[in-house]
Amino acid sequence: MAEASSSITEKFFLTLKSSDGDEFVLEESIAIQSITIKNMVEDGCSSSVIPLSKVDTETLIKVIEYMKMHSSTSSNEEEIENFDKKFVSNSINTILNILEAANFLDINNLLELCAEAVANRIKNKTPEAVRKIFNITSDFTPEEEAEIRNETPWAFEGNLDHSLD
Amino acid sequence: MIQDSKGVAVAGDKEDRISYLPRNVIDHILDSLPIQDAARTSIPSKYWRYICSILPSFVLNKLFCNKLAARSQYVFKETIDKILLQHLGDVVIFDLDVSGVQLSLCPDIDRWMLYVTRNGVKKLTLNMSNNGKVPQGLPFTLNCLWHLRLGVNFSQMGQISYTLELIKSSHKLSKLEIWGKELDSQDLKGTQAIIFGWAL
Repeated sequence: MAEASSSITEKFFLTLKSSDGDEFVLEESIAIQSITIKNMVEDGCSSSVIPLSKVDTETLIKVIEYMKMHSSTSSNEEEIENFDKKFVSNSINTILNILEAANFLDINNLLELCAEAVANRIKNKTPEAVRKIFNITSDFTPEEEAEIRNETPWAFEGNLDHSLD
Repeated sequence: MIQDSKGVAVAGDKEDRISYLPRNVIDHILDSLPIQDAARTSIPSKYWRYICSILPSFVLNKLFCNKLAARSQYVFKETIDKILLQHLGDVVIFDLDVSGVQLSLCPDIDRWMLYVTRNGVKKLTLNMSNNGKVPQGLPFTLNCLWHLRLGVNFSQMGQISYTLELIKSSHKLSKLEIWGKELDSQDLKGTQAIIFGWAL
């Protein structure tokens, strides 16, 4: 069971189960882009369903979409680039869910892609905009906040972006 | 405390997801941010207060360095000294781009390099391609130097030999770009730039 990689002609399939209980059948060669899944396969744990208790259905669908596109043979570079561009235009909460799933599943490319997408929503923004974009509630008093700003005055110079884009 | 709001998925888009990500993921997000953007993340809430001060990476990009240096060499030097001083913990990635700063900063750069090499830096990137100066006080075994962009004045033997020593002792160098300025002795306007760049 575990020697799937030695066979080229025969395809192996894995069943991934989301935290919502939905099952997805995926070619093993695609699924092992996740190092977590790859390790499970190598340890012989893949004979039955692989439960992914930290990944909900909506997120798992996106992750599978990504892995299919990035699996070696089927897509060219331009296609992948366009796919990635579109992929990161998902809502910020979707991206954060995928980011956490990519961390759990250990899919480095996906982690990098989503981390950069999140970083781009922070770049050049005012702290107020960052709070709104990510729904962070401030627990500082205005005095405390002013004090922190004074520690790094160079970080607040220039034209910072107030928009929530 | 950290796991509390995980169950509040019903809150949907109004949920603060980012503050509840595992710390290694948060570090990953902030790692790629220029220092001025990373520093502002100490404001949104108490949870975020010190995350950027223990972040293992420093990205002092060209824009940031230019802005500070435009005010004065003193402001530039003082600010970077202060940034390094305020940092808690190791500096794993240090990325300094002073290619747009036309100042004689070598003693300061040497000091910063020394500071980060003593604080565990593993990935050091130094871009001073426009300065026509080579830092001369660097420790000779820069096992951490990852990517180097230097501007070398080829009319000065000292700079050439120092650059060669620097390359020779930097075992982890993965990308090297050298910008050479060949000065016409008669007419300084005839400056020509020669570029060598290769990935090792």
